[in-house]
Amino acid sequence: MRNKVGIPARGNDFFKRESEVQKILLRLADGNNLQITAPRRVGKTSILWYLRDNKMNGYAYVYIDTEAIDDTDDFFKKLLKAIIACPEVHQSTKLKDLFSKGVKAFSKIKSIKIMGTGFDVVENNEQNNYYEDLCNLLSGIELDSSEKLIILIDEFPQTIQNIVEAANGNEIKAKRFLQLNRDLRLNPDINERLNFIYTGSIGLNHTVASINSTAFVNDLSSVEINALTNTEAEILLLELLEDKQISIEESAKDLLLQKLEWLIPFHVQLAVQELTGLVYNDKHIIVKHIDLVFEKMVEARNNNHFEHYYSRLKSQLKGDAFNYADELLQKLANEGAITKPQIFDLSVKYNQEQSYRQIIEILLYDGYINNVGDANTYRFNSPIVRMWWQKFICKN
Amino acid sequence: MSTFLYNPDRKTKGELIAEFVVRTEVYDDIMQDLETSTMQHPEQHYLLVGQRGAGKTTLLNRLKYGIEDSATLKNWVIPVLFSEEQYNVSELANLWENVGQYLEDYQGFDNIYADMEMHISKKNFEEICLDILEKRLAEKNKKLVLLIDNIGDLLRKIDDIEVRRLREILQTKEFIRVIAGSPFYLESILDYQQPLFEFFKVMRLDGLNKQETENLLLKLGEIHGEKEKIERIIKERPQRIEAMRALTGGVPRTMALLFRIFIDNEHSNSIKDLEKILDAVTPLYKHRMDDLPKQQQKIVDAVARKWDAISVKELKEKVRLESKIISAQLRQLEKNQIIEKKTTDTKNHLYLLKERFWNIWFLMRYGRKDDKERVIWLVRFLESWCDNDEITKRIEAFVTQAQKGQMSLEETSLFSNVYASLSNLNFSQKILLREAKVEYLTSKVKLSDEELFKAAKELRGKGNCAKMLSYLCEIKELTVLHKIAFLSIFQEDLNVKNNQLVELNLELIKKLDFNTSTSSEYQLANLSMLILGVSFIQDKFENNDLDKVLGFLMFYSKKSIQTYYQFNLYVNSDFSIEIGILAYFYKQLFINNLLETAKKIVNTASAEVDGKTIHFKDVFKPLYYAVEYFDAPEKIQNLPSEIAGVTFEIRNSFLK
Repeated sequence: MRNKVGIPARGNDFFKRESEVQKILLRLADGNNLQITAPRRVGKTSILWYLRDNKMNGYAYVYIDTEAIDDTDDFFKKLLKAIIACPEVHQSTKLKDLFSKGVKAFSKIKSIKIMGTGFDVVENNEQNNYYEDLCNLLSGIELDSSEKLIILIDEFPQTIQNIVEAANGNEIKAKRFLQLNRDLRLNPDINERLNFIYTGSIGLNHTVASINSTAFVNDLSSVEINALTNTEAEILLLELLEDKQISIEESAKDLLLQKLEWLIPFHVQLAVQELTGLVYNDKHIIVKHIDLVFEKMVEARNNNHFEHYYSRLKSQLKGDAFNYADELLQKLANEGAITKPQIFDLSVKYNQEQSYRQIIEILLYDGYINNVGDANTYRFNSPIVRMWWQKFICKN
Repeated sequence: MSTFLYNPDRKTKGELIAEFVVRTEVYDDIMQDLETSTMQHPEQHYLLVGQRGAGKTTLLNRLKYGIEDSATLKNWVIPVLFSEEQYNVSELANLWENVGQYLEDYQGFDNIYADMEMHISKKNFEEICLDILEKRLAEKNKKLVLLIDNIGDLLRKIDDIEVRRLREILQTKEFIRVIAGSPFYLESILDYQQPLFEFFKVMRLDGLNKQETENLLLKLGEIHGEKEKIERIIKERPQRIEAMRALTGGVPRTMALLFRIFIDNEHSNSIKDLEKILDAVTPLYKHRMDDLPKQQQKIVDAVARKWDAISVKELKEKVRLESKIISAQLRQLEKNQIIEKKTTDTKNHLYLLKERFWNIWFLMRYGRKDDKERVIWLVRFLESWCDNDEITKRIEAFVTQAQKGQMSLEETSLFSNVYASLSNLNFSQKILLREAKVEYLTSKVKLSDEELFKAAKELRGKGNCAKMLSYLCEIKELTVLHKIAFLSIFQEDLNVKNNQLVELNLELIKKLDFNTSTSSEYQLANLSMLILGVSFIQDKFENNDLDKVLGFLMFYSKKSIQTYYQFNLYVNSDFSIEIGILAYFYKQLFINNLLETAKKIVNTASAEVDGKTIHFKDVFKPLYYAVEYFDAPEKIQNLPSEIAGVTFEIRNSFLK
């Protein structure tokens, strides 16, 4: 297993997370449309790719990343193109048959043509209504072997933000966009044949809440992706080190996992990346390397992996709400823990008595903090993030 | 100066590979990753971060050749290198068009560019271009490694949504892998909010360490036919390697530029080379400055002008920005390896430009044009570059050339200014310059009072009283110590047999202006005591010398020539020199009660010796009481025993 840091892990580089994969498959089997929730870097996208690459449960999967889309039409066009490019669709003789006969709704589709052995999107026609064509296609779609089509939409919340921004802050288009997506999902002719999975680097719930559109996504069933268990993290660590032909002392391994605490794949990968540099010559990790590696992980060159924690806060929270979260996290980074009464006291300073719970929710949800073990005390979720915070954010 | 040294794009493949001796670990790491990747799925992308001249372009070129030559890669991976100047990209589609052109021109992808251009008017032109690339590459089972120098330039030109699109491509398209270079950390290029760079593994190209510096210099030596000289420097004068590292901030390109000067410690040739180099680096260094945001430019400007490390407080006065902003910008500049932080014991750290040679360039280009500032860049260069031995050698060479008239007036004036302005000149270097007999130079080399004094002392016994005294006359604040010492020197030099010289020296004594004391008695006594003090102190209180001192004092108090002869006889010394001096004063002043005055002085005078204040009273106490004995023996009956012992010893030895 090769150590790819940052980029989604695929093929042999993906660490199989059986329980998380099964959780999703069970929900899909029940016919649910899903949103996958988890803080950044927990491995959501890698899991989506795993489903797709391995055609799990015999479904056909279509993956699209829509972070560069800022227009409703473009979104549906991209979706349409991706669907007909999916091998199970592209090569479906059943579908081709229906299409050439012009049965059902297919006769109304203007933007798709049979080309050679499969289909293609014809883009010249200004009159194309990709959304309608998509509805028509999906309502009659038939695949040769797969029982179901699963549409994986990555970075969907970003698309919503893009649409709002492209309209200079006007939310009408974004709401309409969400409405169309909801209609598509709930269309009884369609939802028998396919399901949607949405995810993204920014939380869908926060994004829709910010434009008062929670109702448009309340049909989605949430699946939470958890961090690795200790055993999983250990296996991942050993497999990554094996690829580098590096051995690790038992005590060093235990210490590393203990110190990492929040065992998301990314943190294990980053630790391995830095350990590889540390034991470049002797290829053997001992306890003394573990302390060093934490210093290395939060060196400035790795800021590309951490900076988003801070910049995201800035974009998500404004004015005193941001100042509140900022001071709270700095305090937490410096002091290690903060109690509920302290959290409330601080909210008074920034006039956040009414909304501080929401802010704490965001911090919890996005993986900054937790109160596991003691409901009254909050800590940083990850000691590495805390170290980074101390080094680059804390003023004192 | 050959340009190929610092322009990797102009080197031939053979040259570049042969000269690739630093950054080899980073190269090996990336090559190993490339060679073990199948590119079935999107792979790890890389970002090489290092300031201009750190070796990014060379490394990208080396990777290109490495891929082309790799048995594992050459059949299925096509490296496409974009140098900063090569592409003109204003939208993402241009990038794919450029790749298309390259594939068509060099890789046999016929008409691929034309295929793209057919769709140029379409809204989704970028997407179509990428699709064409994907399709055509798939037909030939090829994948791309894009080597993009200064990716920041590219990203700045394309809009946010296209940056997102690039992220999408890097995350989903397995046929493209990016290895990019950037002179700065990413927040300068792009808001981290846009998490494009999460996919990149950042490799820092920091300043070279000692071993890497040696490797580079050896390679440069080999290229210039000076390998043996470099080997000798490494072995015998390793401090010069460190000076090179410090001055260049470990930046390989600057090292290559300074190589000629490094091996040549002659006085003027290398300086001329230096001027040429500074001209040659102007585009590079100017670019580095222009790359910075406005506020950072302002801060860097102020830091560079100061040269020495500067505090935030001082910066605040100079740039008129809030401390908070300055600190934040400094942090950024530090991350980008432009500024170096010198931590202090307090919270107020100090900051300076990391690459000193850049600072030198800055001073040359932007320094004020008055006389001193005009040469300050060269001064700073020599200070950073040369150890003491080398400065001495250069000064010697300069003095010889100037004296022989081998330099133009203009050059002589320039270098007079430069050498005189060196802040770390040691004493002998200053004297070397002072004695050079070069016009105006003497007045430019400033000596401290201590140094003037030392210079005078060093002329002792060399028969050049005029020069000696001229040094002494320059002393701004004559302390008692100086006066003592002066007389001590004078005492040695004065030759009573040569009346002319005596007269001359007496004239010079006047220049020393001892006439600041309130009374003439005091003055003479002062002098006398000083002379005695000198002998006393210099001879470290040996009994024999106490005798001398006491005898001499008694001779004066009694004004008896007989006593003097007795004394001379007893100590077997010739005090005619001292008599010579004192006679001069004696002619002018009538002394009734020298002893009385001497006692006053012993009570009040003090001298600075090695930074410590010595009260004469303490030093002369036994002597004082011994003298006192002759006037009022009863006064010393009750002396404490530790003083009484010595006092009586002195008295007894005299009475003998």
